[in-house]
Amino acid sequence: MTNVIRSAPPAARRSPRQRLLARLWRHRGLYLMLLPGLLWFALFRYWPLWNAQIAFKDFQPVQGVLHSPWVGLEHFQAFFSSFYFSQLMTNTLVISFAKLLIGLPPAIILALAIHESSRRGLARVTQTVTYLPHFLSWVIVFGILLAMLSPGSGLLNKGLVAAGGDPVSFLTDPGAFRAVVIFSDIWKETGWSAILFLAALIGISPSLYEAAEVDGATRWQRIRHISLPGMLDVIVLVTLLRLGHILDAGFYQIYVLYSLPVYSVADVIDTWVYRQGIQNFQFSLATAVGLFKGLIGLLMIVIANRVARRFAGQGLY
Amino acid sequence: MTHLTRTTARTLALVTISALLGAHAQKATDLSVALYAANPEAPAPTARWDTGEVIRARTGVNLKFTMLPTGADGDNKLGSLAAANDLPDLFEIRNRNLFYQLIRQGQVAPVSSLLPQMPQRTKVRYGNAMRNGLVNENGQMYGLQEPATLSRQYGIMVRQDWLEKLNLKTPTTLDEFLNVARAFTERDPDGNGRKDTFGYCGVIDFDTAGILPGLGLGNHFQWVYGAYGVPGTWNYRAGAAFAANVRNPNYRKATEYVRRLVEAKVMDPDWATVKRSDLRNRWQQGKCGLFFESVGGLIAGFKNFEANNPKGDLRFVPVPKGPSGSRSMGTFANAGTLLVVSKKAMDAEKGPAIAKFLEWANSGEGYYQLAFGKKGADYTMVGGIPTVTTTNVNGRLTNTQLRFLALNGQAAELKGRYGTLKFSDGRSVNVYNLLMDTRRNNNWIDRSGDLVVPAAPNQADIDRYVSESLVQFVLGQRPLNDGNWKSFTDGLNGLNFAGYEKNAYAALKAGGFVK
Amino acid sequence: MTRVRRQNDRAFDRTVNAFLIAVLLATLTPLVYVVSVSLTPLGQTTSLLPRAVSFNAYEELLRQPALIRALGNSVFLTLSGVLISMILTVCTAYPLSRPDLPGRKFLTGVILFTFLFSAGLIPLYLVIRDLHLLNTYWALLLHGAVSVYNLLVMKNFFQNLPESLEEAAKIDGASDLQVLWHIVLPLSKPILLTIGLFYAVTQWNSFFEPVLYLSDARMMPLPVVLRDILTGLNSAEYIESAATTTAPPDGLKMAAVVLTTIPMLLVYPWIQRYFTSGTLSGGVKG
Repeated sequence: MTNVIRSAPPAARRSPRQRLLARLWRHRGLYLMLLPGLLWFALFRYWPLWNAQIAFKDFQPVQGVLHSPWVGLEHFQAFFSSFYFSQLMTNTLVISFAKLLIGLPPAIILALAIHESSRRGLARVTQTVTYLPHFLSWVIVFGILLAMLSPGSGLLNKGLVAAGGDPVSFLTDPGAFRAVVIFSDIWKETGWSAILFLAALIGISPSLYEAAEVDGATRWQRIRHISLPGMLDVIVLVTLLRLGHILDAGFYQIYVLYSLPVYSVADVIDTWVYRQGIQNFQFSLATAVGLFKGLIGLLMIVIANRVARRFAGQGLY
Repeated sequence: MTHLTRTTARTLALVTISALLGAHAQKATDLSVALYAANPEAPAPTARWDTGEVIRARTGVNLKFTMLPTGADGDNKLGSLAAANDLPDLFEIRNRNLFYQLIRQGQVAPVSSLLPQMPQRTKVRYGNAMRNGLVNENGQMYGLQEPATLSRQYGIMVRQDWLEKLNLKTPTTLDEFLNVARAFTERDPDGNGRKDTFGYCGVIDFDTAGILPGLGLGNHFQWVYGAYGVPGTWNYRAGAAFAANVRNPNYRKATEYVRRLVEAKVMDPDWATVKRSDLRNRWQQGKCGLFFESVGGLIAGFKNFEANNPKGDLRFVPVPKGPSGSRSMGTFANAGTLLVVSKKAMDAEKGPAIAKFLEWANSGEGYYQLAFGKKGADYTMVGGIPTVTTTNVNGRLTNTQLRFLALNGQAAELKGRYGTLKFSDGRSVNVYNLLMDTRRNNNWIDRSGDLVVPAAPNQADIDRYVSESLVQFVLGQRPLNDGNWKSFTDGLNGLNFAGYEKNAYAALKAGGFVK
Repeated sequence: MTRVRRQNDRAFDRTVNAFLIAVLLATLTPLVYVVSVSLTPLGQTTSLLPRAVSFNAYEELLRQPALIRALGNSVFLTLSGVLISMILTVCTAYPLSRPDLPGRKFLTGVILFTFLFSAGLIPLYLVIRDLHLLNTYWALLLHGAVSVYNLLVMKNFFQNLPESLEEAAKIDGASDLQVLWHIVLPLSKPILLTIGLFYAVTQWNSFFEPVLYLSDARMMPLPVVLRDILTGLNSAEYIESAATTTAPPDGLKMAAVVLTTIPMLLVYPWIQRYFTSGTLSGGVKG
């Protein structure tokens, strides 16, 4: 170290440390800009994570987080050894992956269609209308689903009967319920998710399309070679982030839509935590399950990021 | 500046009122009170809230009132306040699990020291040994258990006009019930030429407003289990005979009867998934011949019902009898609001202020102000019955947001709260009488002891297992035969159900609810 | 050759438009049903298109005195919430998008970690209490001010902007803040509006947090107050005076939905103006 400094001409070279300091100093404006955000993360995300030690404790509010007695992994074990554990895991993963695999493509296709349509009026109206269901709460969507799917008076079942078929009890049939969950999610959120992809499409320079036009590319080719690559990084990003939350199958939706006849295919980790942890005031248990979900999410994101870097050439980090 | 002026104005108003009423403003004690919203639709109390001003003037209490939302959100809010060791001084608990947890964590204080400070209230409300047993833990009294103000207001309603049209008699047994339900489904009682009516409308509902749903299919099917002598979760027998009803062979028979209702297609095909509001929609639209409803539900929905069914006539029917003559609409707990005082409030020596305030709310001016609002404006006394007179509905509702502290469930009060319901064809029904009828005619079974049974560590799984299995049986997803029923009851072992039963027995015995 | 291509393009166009119309109808039908139920008078069965129209449900809700204050609260919360969220998100996303910033990866990791591991309801509640934010609007504005999802999307967008422009500005001696303000942000309008909308909607619809963090009922925003009104009008178990409503319960529910959605419906077309191709054409080169 000292040798290096001595042997180098002092004016021409600086030590690595000095160079680093210089680089840091050069970016002082950016660091300053980062400060409020980092402070926010420290206060509103890392401090709660510090409090999340109640997952390993018998939380006693009077004594506070710090002085509550440790109980080790008791709350985690209560979850892992619970009666329905394997069913909860299966349901959560099946619903969550199905939502990702079946739910994401429609949003991409809708964004492309809105972007490509020659009728701007139609495109705009479609965009506005498909964005609206996002504002309906799941309780309202349940009412709508009932009006559409009820075996007695639902519109869809009236159609089925008119066509000579038997009415299907979509909401109470374990064979049909997951499809209801996935397609109602698509109906409600596709327009909303499409906004993000649309923003990416708009970011693509028009000159690329013009060049393609000159080269004689068909509309389909332009989608394949310009639009899709242009939104690839957003698609990868969204997929990775969704994988990070793979154990969130959509609490509110399932909580509102499910009922006893379909628990075996619908009960997920979060609905269980709500019934067992929140309604019985077992906050440590709820926190423990939250940390477990994070661990799985971390695992998923690390693996998926590797895959994404290999096949799409980019990842999250 | 504005703030200052407002404060000054408020202080001035306070001083003026205090002077008028002869109290001493300087002795005001801050008291935080949290109650579940009595009238959630009414605007929240303002700074110059009539009831708040009267309380300050009369009792020297400076009230800080938090309205908890009804239902799970309110429970969660209270749970968060508890987790933060930030509980209000005086508050209401509806979830008994939270109550016992707060006792264990030392967040609520024993209240026996308050009783001598509010002798009238204690005499009227806290003299019942059974009710006091519900709040006893380790020999200490940890809560003020109010008497029930409104309970058992549920029953089975029938379309009397349909009965008459189809020449049917009011059903009195389970078999007759099924026959009537079948006729209502198949013989087009509304005469519209379509098969769009249902014999019986009931949903899976576990709301505990004044009744106990027990393990299983919930409130709307308890009467079937009652007809077989097994309503509620426990059999309340002594010693070795004590068990959960689910182990009784009659429990299976009752489940088979519900299965028959489903098989006969007399219930709407989606009954197991729709909610109570959907059920209400359906009877109001004239789709239901028989249905489970509360008196309140009838009042709330009769207008819509009349508009849909101009000649419709609804009556409560007595609960049907089972094969061996048993009958019961279900189980109930003979207890009302549970009030508790936080340990912090007691440590801060707010006990006397709380006692003074509660004693004031028990009778006379305080009682009427909290329960009915401003005398002369919101209500007047007619023959000893407080009768609502105001047209300013919202003002009255705001004034009575604290009524759960005052209500006592006595006859005059119920008559004042529940007047006459007028139908457009000139008929009228006295709602108070209806309430008394549903209470008396349905052989409700007092299972107040259920409130002291500790929740099992895996309570949510036990609840799910029993309810889900029963639903699978009655829907036919799982054939109801000996083998399947045995595997269902054997499955309880995997949930340590015996441990749950053992703890339940110990708690019930300690509370004197079983011998 | 060109003729064939043009024919293909026309067929393609027709397919796209047919698809859009199909999607439009599939989405619109249930929405029409919602409006239809809200307009159905007492004593009418609901159907896709109402046979008779009554505005009773809307009148019933709008004459509730608590509503106006709640609307004001909601507008205030949404506007200030978006402002705070956007400032925090942009100021964090931009530096992290600079490829030459030392420690960039580490800091991104620190932020991503909080996306995966959420502490949950109670641990956050305890922080809000310790910061003395309970029963203040700060709790609602700050507890979820930054969404990691939105932050990463924005960072990603900034990363894809052409570097040449910023470098040119830097050579001209502009500070980082000046570059962000004068060059990066004007180029990022679509994403800024998108993310701003995301934040606005989250704040506007927020429902459980106000109940949790606020105690003063007069501070509650629209969704909470509407829910309370609906519970009050429908909580049949405790109802006393004979029903005064002149609208069916479902009508009230749906009218409340329509009322809360209208403001967001009004905002969207305004945002949409920036969602047309070519916004970026001035200066960006592929």
